[in-house]
Amino acid sequence: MPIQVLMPALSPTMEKGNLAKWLKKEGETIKSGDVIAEIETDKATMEVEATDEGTLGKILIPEGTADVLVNTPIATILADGESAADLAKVPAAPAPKAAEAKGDAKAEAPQPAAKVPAAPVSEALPDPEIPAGTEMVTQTIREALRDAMAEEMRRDGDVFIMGEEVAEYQGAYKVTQGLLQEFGARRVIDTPITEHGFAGVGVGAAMAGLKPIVEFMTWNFAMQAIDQIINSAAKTLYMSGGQMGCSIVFRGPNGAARASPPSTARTTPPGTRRCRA
Amino acid sequence: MATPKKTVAKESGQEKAGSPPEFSREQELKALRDMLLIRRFEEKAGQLYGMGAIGGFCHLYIGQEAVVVGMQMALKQGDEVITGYRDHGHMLACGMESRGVMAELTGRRGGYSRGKGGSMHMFSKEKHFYGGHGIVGAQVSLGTGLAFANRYRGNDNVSVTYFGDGAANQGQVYESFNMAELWKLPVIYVIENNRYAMGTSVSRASAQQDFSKRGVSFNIPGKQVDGMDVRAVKAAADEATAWCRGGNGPIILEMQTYRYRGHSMSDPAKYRTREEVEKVRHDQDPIEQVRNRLLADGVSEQDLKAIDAEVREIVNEAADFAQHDPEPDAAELYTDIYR
Repeated sequence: MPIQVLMPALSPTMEKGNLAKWLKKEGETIKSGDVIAEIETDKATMEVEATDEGTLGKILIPEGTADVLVNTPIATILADGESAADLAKVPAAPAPKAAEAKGDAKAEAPQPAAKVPAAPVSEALPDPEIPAGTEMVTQTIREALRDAMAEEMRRDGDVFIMGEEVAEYQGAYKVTQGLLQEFGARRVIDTPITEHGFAGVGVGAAMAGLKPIVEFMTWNFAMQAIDQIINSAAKTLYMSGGQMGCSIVFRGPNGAARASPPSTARTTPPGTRRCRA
Repeated sequence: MATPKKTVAKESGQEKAGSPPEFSREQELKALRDMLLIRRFEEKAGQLYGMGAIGGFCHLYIGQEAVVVGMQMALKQGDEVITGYRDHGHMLACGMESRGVMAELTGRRGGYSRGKGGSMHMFSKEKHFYGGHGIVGAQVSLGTGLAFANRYRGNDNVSVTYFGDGAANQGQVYESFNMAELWKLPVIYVIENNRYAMGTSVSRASAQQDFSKRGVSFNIPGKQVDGMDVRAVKAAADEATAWCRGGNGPIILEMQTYRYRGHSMSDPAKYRTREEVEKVRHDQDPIEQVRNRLLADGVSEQDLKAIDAEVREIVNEAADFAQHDPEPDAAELYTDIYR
């Protein structure tokens, strides 16, 4: 029976993606490992590799389709000996997860979901510092972080960013997307995987008057560098009697995520300030 | 950037034979005075410590004077210096004032860190001295960062980053080596090998005891230098600064030196014999070497005594200031935490 190719989840958080491009045509032979399509997520463009062999029978989702839910059938592959006529044998496409959930809910409509506690309702209070009538823009946190850094870098030539994958990769979590293109490799600097070392290099540069933004790919990794953060960056202003300060930002993502307990680094050593977004 | 030729690398570990270039009389006299100032200062600091005027940590530099004095003679205005906890000599060599350093040792207002830093934490932006760091090895990344800033700004300053044979076994040293070579940062790593990391001899702690080779896996050239001969130090420093200013990246100088006193004031130094210390003092003392050359060159004993007297006066004045300057106000506990 023909095999269905489903929209893959290309990251743990991906729910949907755009089918950017088909690299195989209907009727073309496919071997395991062939790249058959390109899919765009909010983070990157990724390639979809075939895991089955045969002939591309039918493309179900044409290229250029946006917001295709994960697990939606996007094509069928005909095994050896099968022909287009066999396509009819394919059972009705299993609905993607989101739709499934909806269907179930409908079927079990009489059962109220009372056992599930109601989600807490949070309502943003008006910020007194923002004048009434200000037009607000919607953007992701990562865009806001990026824009804030870019703004500082435009304003002050002494501001630079360093860390793992911040430049050519465009940021492990895309926070530095586009910064290399705007500011160049002198100010957007990929480091080796060497947290203790590059944190120290950043602090030294800051002691010399530059204003580094040091990115840790995850805040857990910052613990490798905590000596430099506390003993060199935070304490030196005090220990030098105010003479040798250090203007530096250490940043990185932290918090609840899969396989990543949110318990690290919740304290703020004297001499540092903690910002959360 | 042009690919640099690693001619210096080949000399790694082989620099032994031959006398270093001679100093002019003027250079000899300057070296003598600067080394004497450090020695007399440290002797006085040890004395004040014994009197209870200095508390906490205090690591004396006696015996190693030729290293900082020779290095400093090769530097130009703007070159940065950074070191670890045995830092009094480096500060005096950089031109920081004796009274400010001594008053910091005694924790007084007139100290370089207004009495809040102590022996291991003094700084002078004016003299391009970036500390004074208590965490063993931390200054290596920081010094690499100073070099990074030079590179970022496109100036031709060099960061002189000192650390000991003990710190040379810290991981961040090699993280720094990697980045320094990768980015061709102008940094001279001066490894002051005084043979003991506190009480642990080099042979008990280091798999590779030739510290000039510690950069080999990063393609950083290195050189062993007689750190008891100020002329040899100066010659190596000249070569190293030229290497860095030429855009060739970092270089390592292993200074073979010796500390006469214990690791700190509370160290009885039972891990080595009195004879070993005496032998170095007798055969290799950096100050005696210069004195003897000057005497042989016809400088009178009286002239040399006059230098000693001038230096002692500076040190005595510093000690006097350091004991009479007021302590910082208690409110200072809460200042300089945030800017």
